[in-house]
Amino acid sequence: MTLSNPPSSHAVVAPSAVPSDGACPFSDTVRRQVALTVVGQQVVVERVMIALLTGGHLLLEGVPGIGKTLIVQAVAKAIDLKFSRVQFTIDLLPSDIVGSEILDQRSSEFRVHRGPIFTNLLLADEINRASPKVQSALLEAMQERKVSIGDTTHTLPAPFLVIATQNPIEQSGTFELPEAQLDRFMLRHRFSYPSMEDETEVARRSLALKLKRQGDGAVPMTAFDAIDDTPRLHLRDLSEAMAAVQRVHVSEVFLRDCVTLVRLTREHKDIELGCSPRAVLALVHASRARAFLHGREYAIPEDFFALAEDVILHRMRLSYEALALGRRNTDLLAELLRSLT
Amino acid sequence: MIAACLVVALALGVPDDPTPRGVTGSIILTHRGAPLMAHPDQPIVSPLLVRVIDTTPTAAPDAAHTYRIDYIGVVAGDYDIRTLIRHRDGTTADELVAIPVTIISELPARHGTDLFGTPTAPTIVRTHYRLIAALFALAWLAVPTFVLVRRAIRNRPPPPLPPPTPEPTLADQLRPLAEGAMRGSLSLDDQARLELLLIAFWSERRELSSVSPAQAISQLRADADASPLLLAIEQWLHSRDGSPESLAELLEPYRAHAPIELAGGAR
Repeated sequence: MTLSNPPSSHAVVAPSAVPSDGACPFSDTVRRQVALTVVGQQVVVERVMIALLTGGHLLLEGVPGIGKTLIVQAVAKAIDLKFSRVQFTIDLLPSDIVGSEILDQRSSEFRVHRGPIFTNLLLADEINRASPKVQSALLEAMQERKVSIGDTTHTLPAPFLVIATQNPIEQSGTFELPEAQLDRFMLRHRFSYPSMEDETEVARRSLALKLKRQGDGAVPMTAFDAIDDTPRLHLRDLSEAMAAVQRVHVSEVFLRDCVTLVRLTREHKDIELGCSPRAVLALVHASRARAFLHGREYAIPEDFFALAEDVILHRMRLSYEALALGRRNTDLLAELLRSLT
Repeated sequence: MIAACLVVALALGVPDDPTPRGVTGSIILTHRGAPLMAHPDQPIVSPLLVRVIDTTPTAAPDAAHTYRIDYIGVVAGDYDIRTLIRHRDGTTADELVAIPVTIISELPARHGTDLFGTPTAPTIVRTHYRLIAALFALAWLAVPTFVLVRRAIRNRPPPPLPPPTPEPTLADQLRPLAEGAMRGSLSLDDQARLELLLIAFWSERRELSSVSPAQAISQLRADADASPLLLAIEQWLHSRDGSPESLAELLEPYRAHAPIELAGGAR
């Protein structure tokens, strides 16, 4: 969703618009701060926080213009994270992301130029537009959290989180991420269009935006200009929150539910490729983070059911016969969830 | 009388050699006395056929006649022509002496000598026509009969199945799990199943099938009737120090009563 309010008008956001039970100050603070510029999309904000708290990576899918970049930038600024954005294109090179060694003519020595990947939160916009070589360079960095430039290996900052976006509609000239690389993303969340109330509120807030003056000239403010630059949380808060997530209890019964669901994806006749064990890890860790965000000390089936779609769907591939019969992976997942009982 | 009955047989034309079958032989017989003739009732199947071809009176005053008798044998053997000769008045010609002839067969031994014997037909179609026709009729009837019987067997309704066992309702499935939970004897799988069944049970009662499972659980956790048990189950199964002690009272309705008696009218 597009953003709206200038930093000085925080009071415009109705407190009731942000779901909060007061049980998790970290979550409440981030949500409140993001809600200053983003209308609705609470689930997406939650997924971004889950990715941050667990060190996973997030793939966002949605049509253009629903605020993917804005949400990520708002979360980054709310927690005082370094933020970089790379628009992926077909002619992008791995060195454009990772960095390279350049010759300093004055000292006649090679100097390391670090790429935009040296950040806390990297937004890889339209990742499927880049060539497979660039995609694998990024995904390798996501996995290992370090990159090599020349002969030197550089560790990426902590935390390091990649949030990639994909446009599911326009597919010409794109390179679809293969299953093995999709598996690197802990969550893949599909954006939905905002509700009528939210969309109206977006329009209302955009009307409240003022002009940004530069000398004698002026340009209209955009939603990005309205993001509050004052961080409400810092890296230390994030680290403490991550530690708190580690303390969330995951019972044996919960583990059994997660493993059973993942194993069901491997046994269903309509599923050609089931989920990897990495899916179990993602489900368990993401559920633990969600439990923390909801102020609980233990994970419950609600976490597991809420995250199943984002964790499971991009890790399973339907068989040709199932696709020919018009079956959808969402229907199959619902069937698997029902079969758990 | 004796003189009158004297028979003079002059074998003028009697062959010395045997006569082959089917070939006409001839003898000349001079007879004095009542005129002779060939036996009139010789059957066609008689092994020897005799005919009196010519009768000529002699010039002698004793009224003798000369007879030319032809014979044809159809079965090899020795015969006496005398047996086939009669008086014209029908009386037997006992006064004649034996007139032997021998009929021989030119065919190999054991070939058979019966000219009138009909050999076995080369095909049985002519000899067993009725039998073959009956077999054809049976075959003609057997094919459709076989088809009809087979079809009848196939279409025979299957034996009646035993009445289907009604699928256990959620409440039926819950009851043994609730008992196990109160006894503390549930396995890990059964504990997980108990929790998910309770969620499904209350989702059905609250008609939450149209919302996602996560939303359903969220609503049930705020439901005045469902939340006490669900939260207690959560505490028991998922919290670090959960215990089933407080569950006994909450699970009692699922254990002791029929599902219809549960609060809210569950099935």
